[in-house]
Amino acid sequence: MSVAHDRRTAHDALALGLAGLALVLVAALLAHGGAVGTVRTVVACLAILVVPGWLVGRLVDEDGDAIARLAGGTVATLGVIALSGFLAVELGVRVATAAVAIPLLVLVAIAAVLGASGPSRSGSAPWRSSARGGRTSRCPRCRSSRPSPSRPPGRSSLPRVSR
Amino acid sequence: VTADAAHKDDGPSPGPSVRTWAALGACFLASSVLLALAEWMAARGDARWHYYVFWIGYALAVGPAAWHMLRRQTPGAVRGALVVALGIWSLAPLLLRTGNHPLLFDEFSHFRMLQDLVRTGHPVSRVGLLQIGANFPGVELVTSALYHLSGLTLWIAALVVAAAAHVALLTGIYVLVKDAASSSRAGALAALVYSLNPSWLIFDAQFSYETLAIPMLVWVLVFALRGARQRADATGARNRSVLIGVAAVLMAGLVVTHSVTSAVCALALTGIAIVATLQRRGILRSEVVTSTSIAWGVAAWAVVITILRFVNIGHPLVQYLGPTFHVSQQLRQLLSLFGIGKGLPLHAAFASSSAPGFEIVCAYAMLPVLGIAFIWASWGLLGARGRISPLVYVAFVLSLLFFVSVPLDSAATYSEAVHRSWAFSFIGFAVLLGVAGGLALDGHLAINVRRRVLWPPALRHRLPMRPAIVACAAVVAIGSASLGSSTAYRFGGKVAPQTDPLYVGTQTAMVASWFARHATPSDVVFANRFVIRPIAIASRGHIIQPGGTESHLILTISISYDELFAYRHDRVSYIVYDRRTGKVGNVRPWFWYVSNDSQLPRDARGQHAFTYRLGCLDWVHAVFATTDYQVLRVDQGALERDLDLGHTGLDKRCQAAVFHG
Repeated sequence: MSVAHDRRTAHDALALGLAGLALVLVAALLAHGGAVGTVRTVVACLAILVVPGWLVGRLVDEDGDAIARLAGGTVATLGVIALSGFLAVELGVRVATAAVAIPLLVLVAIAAVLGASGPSRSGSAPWRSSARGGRTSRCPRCRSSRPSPSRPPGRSSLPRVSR
Repeated sequence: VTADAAHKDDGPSPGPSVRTWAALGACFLASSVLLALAEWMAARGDARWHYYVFWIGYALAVGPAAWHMLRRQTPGAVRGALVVALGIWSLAPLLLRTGNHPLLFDEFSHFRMLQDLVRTGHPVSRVGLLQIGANFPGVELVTSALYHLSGLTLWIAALVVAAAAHVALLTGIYVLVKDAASSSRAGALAALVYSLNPSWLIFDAQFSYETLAIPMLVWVLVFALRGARQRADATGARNRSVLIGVAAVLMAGLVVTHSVTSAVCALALTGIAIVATLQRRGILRSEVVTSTSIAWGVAAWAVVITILRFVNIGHPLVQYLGPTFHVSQQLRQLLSLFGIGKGLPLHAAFASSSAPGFEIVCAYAMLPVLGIAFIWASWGLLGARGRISPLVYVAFVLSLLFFVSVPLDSAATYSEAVHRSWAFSFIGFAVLLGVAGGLALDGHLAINVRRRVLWPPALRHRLPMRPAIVACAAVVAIGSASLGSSTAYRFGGKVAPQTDPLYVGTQTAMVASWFARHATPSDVVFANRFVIRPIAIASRGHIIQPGGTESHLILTISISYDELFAYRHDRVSYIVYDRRTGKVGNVRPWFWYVSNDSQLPRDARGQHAFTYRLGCLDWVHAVFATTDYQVLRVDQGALERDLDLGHTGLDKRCQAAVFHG
């Protein structure tokens, strides 16, 4: 494993650790009902905003960018909750704990199965092995860069994101 | 090569040291303290110093974060972390303003919808505040989910959802542009540009449709564009299926969350599909290959479900959006700027505003600054059009709409809708300036006129250019906050009638708590648009639309039986009136949706308010009063008797003073 990868993983872990710590602290401050209420709040926040988001994010992330993965997955989870809640309303089902928990569990199960059965996410980004380079030919004052090697077919000449 | 790639080639970056992280944390902390200080000073009635303290606090957080995000040697993961940090910090101004309860105008409507949803298990349409709300219950459904699972209070659950969505929006912009420009530096720049948006730092409401809908829109674009990216290997095909599935589900979630945002998303996806097709056919020169079949498939799904939802809702949606999207009136207003025809009644941006001079100057200076930035980015990207994503073309159109919307901002009818539309326009600016700025920062953007090179600038101009760009960003940040939201939304102050949201205070709290104790779910309350909101969330009763026929009883010179029938038909049980109506400010703004004279009876078009009339009617009697408000109980039996006898119920002693017929 490269030093850069280790360092990136450390950054991701640090950022996520801080975010998780902040979440727990905030939940502890906001919750009412003593220790049980705090635990319930933390578990619910994890169950809605973190865990499904992370699992879904793993499926749709191509960069291995932890923060983007979590944010994208969380928004997708919120979309699923909105949609399943709406469908429940349309079917005449009362929107309460069960109407939320069951779709969440289904989502987590699907995401976990897809994540487990699919190929490893790391290194799946197609540009990881692709050539980089390219500069605008009409830019006489551009900083010098190495010339663009051949690109894989169908890809932009712009280099892909690195971390 | 981009900075990221160049940097990677140079070896692994150490990233910021622990000391740098500590310094950044201290900056965010100090900034939050200054924002709190500004709010405290404003609430104490300090003249204008709170504006300066606020902007110093703003600069203290955004400045160092922006510098680190745009530095060449900052690793992508650190940029992402700083985008998240900026997103979390930017919650502070509104949270400090509102405190632990709904305060801003739309929050009351959405919070009442949320209360009804939790109470009944279904979205309730007949609240009377937000007629269309029950048709787009996405944000309320998500919040009720968190409420049910976590045991948090409703308002805190709403804030948690709003906070998660707020941070995810900025992160979404970062990822969208990072993908489009293949540079995390460009993504970070785009996130910074979006954070200058007036709807970002201080929106009309923390908890409303757009809270969740706009992050959904951005992430639908992220997933759809990733799914449509051309790939050949098996892993790519599998990833693509998942991405398209997530984009489709999220789009379906968006359609039940907000009308305008889902329409914008469907149009944006269609635009992307059109550009991808033009690129594929060689009409637009491009090396970027996007799968047209996937682009069209996702766009078709978005368009079909949006149309189906709109058709399913039907008339209420037309009624709700009709006044905002009155194209002929908008065209009339635009033509009037060129002296063709007569324009709409005007809205003065800073009339009687307490905003300081420098904010007003920035608000006007923001427009040419954005104009120059738009031209620079478009021109620069024209030279690189062979390598840009279809998204950039859509961003160009969205940015252009900002400039089209500015003249409409001067029309009283459209100013609010225009401000809200900037949440979309700034996605365009973020993408356009992010991609162009990313290229420029890496030295890959060129603007040439014949043989003259306009960009990159000559070396001797580069040094003074940096502070100029920072100054321009400051102008947009200050100007957009100033132009996009009223000072009362930004800072507290003394209770002021007819001022959103300064009407909420001890008096409204007294009235609301009286209703909480005395009103039953079957009660129906009529009041002006200001006091009705605290009442709506404190009690379970129904609410009569403040601008309905009931309001004519106070506004018309003569009492008509239609007004009385309205009270009987809607089974109004309480009337709340503000003694200051007609004495403070204009009359009509007290009542919502009565801005247009044509909606009123002919004898209600003056600036009269006959509130004393309410004390003369034999079918109402006072049950509660504060200094400013009076609560009257309607005796439906007495009203019915009067109507049967052909009486208005007006006391003889008052008849000499009041016309009636």
